[in-house]
Amino acid sequence: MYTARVKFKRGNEIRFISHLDMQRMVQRILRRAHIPMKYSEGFNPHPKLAFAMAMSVGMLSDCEYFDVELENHVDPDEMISRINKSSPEGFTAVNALVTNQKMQSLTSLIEESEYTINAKLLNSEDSKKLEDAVKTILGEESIKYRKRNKKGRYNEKEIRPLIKDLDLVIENSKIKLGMRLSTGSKENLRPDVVIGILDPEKILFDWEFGFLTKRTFLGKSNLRERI
Amino acid sequence: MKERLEKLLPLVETPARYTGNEVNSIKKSINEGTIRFCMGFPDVYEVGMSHLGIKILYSMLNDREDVYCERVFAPWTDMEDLMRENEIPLFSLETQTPVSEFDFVGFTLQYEMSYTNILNMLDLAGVQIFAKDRDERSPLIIFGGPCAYNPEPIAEFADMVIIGEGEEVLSELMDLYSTHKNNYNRKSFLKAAARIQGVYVPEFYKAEYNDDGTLKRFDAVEAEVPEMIKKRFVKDLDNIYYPDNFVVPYIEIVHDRSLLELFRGCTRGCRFCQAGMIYRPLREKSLETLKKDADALIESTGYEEISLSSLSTMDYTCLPELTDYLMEKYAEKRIAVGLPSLRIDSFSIQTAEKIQQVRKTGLTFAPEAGTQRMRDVINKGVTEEDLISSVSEAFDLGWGHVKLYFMIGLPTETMEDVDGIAKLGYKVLDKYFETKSEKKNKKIKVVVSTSSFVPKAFTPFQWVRQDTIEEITEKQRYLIDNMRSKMINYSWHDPKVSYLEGVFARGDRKLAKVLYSAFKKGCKFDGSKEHFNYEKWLEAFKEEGIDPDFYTARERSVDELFPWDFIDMGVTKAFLAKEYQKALQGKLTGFCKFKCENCGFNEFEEGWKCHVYSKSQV
Ligand code: SF4
Repeated sequence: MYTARVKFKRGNEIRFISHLDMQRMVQRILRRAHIPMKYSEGFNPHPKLAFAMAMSVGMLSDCEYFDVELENHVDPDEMISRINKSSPEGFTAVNALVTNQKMQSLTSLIEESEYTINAKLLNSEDSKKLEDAVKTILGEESIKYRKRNKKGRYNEKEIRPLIKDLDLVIENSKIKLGMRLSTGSKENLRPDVVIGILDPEKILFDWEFGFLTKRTFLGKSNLRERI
Repeated sequence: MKERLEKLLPLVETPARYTGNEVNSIKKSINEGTIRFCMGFPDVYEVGMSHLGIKILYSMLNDREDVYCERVFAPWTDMEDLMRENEIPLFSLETQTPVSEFDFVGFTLQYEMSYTNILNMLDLAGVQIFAKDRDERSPLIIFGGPCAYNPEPIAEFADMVIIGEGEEVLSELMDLYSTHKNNYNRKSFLKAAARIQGVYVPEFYKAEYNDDGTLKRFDAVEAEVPEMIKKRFVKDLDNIYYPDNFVVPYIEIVHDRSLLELFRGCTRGCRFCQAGMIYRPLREKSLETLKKDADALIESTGYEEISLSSLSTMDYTCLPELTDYLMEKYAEKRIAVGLPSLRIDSFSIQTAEKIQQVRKTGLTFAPEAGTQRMRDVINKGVTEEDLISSVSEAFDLGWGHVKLYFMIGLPTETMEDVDGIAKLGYKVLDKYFETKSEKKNKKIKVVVSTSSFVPKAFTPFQWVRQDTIEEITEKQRYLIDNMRSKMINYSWHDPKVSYLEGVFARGDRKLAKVLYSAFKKGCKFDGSKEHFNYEKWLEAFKEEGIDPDFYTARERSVDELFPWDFIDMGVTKAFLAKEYQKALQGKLTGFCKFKCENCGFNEFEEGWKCHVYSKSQV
């Protein structure tokens, strides 16, 4: 049995689809590309496809991964080219690795990600306030985040250690906010939580203009890409 | 537009409904000469994208170099609110062009309860709702689809209505338009269009009514337009365009699979069924064509299922050969073959057993009525024995999930017939407990579903009185009370919706103002529980001085002139009347695939002769 690990990008054209849609889309791409997927047994066979991390609706990415089990070996370069020929605009496979060795699961490999967020200031005079808010977060030793759980009760969670780095660039009223946050099955922090902490009263960012979030790197803290 | 949209998309549910760019969606360069056609479906994306007809027409129109066909669906109410707030007009998916800028906008009429959505979409597009208010700059609004066979309730909103199958008519309309485009005049184009067989231009006709509200006369008021509108049908399905690909949506749609059309028409002759009458005659595609179509669709879509889609799929002459071919070629690739509904016999169970090697799902049967007497009235040639031996075979083979479809409110129905439905449900359940096979499924679920019968134009029951809301409610309550078993799951339809459907299914032009008023009151997505507002509808009827019971509660006399009688759909009114009489006597009419029953079609059009199959061919 072989496993292919594929790195891909998600562009603007498909950023509004959900994680479930994404899984379905990739299955169909692989089928059109005649990639010999291995199926599960049973009444309702499905391909064995696993993504590193779900992506929220609206998010772009330069670096995502999925694993798929194969019936036989496929040349990685050929796989990439066949996938890209069968993909909709906005989906690009970048790299692949095909092996018959057991690989560590994607979810267990992921520890943190980098994000770039494009946004706008509500008032251009407020740049100082936002810079201060960033500094405050970085200066804090502890940040508690209150979150409603599924039962409707509030949970408090320490999130400061999950914020590895913040980096703010403001030009006129345009904002480029870099974040490095814990990601993965153990600890996970979503960038919109940090945005909420930076601007709890919604007076700094132009919320109506919105936030364009791009995951630029998904991987381990050793700062090397997986493939 | 694109930028303004991008800001709204994060705020709505399922934004991918509005973004287009799916695999196999069409991109074209647009120039001066391009005819721009916007294909509309008056429901949300997931429903509209599941519909085979618009898939065919979308691909076919785009196959022409001089036409660019795009798509538009009804935005869900969250999106609509944002669009209105931000003054974003209704736009096409492919290029985000405002719908008002197209040359043509088509809407398919699949069910009556989508009519208000059409008005709402026209309004969102900024297009005049009534045809009489449109001018030279307005797009031409075309309606088609099954409900267009009685176009009168929506006639005042349409510039043209297409009666019958769309492929050939639309091509002819495009050819005609290309000769008019540079020197366009709305009236002269419509006049020329009205001479194409299958095109009805409502503004060229006038209806007059008797004092009691029934139709007195219906006349052409424009010179050189036909008095009768003859439907169109494609004579040879092997030589007509069929798409080799489908747009593959990102989001899960209602029928998320490839659809293979095996044949058109159905000759079983069930008397309640409009499709069975209006889609005559029976025309099968050849096995070779179907193999080719299936291969192309599977290759280009990547779908994991291909559904054999026709009115009574099991009747296809070469079904065993076709399913063998698909299984041999695709089972290994885990591509499943789907059958929408099974005929109630052993052959069907065997076929289902064969194709469900890949993915096992439930079985669906439609006995339609609970007693033999009732089934004879509707000409459903099925016996209780057929059903019981079929489910028994299915249980033996390991199925545990069986769906049974029935109708209530059929003409001449009594409580005994209703009770028959509950009894059948239990008999099926009993059969399960009697099953001794080793393959017997450990889980059992019998789903009994009733829809409420709505008499439709162009059927043998077009004369009958429809059950009232109270009568239907009583029957549903009876079934709820008499199918209490946890292993039987009973579901039913909202009788108020069926009642309104009934009004429009046999309605006339007077209903246009009611539709307009209901739309003004905010009625939309009337097919969805969340939005259906019966009180608003009743207000609309009241304000316009129209009694909805006029359309449903009357038994019509044999010689009444119907609003749809100016349409010649091939099957004659005399044949329908004869069928109605036979129904009342409980007499059956045979399956006309083997022996012609003289419905009129053989005299309908020169050069057409129905193919009669010998039984040995099946
Ligand atoms: S003309 Fe005869 S064979 Fe043809 S559809 Fe009518 S009844 Fe059937």
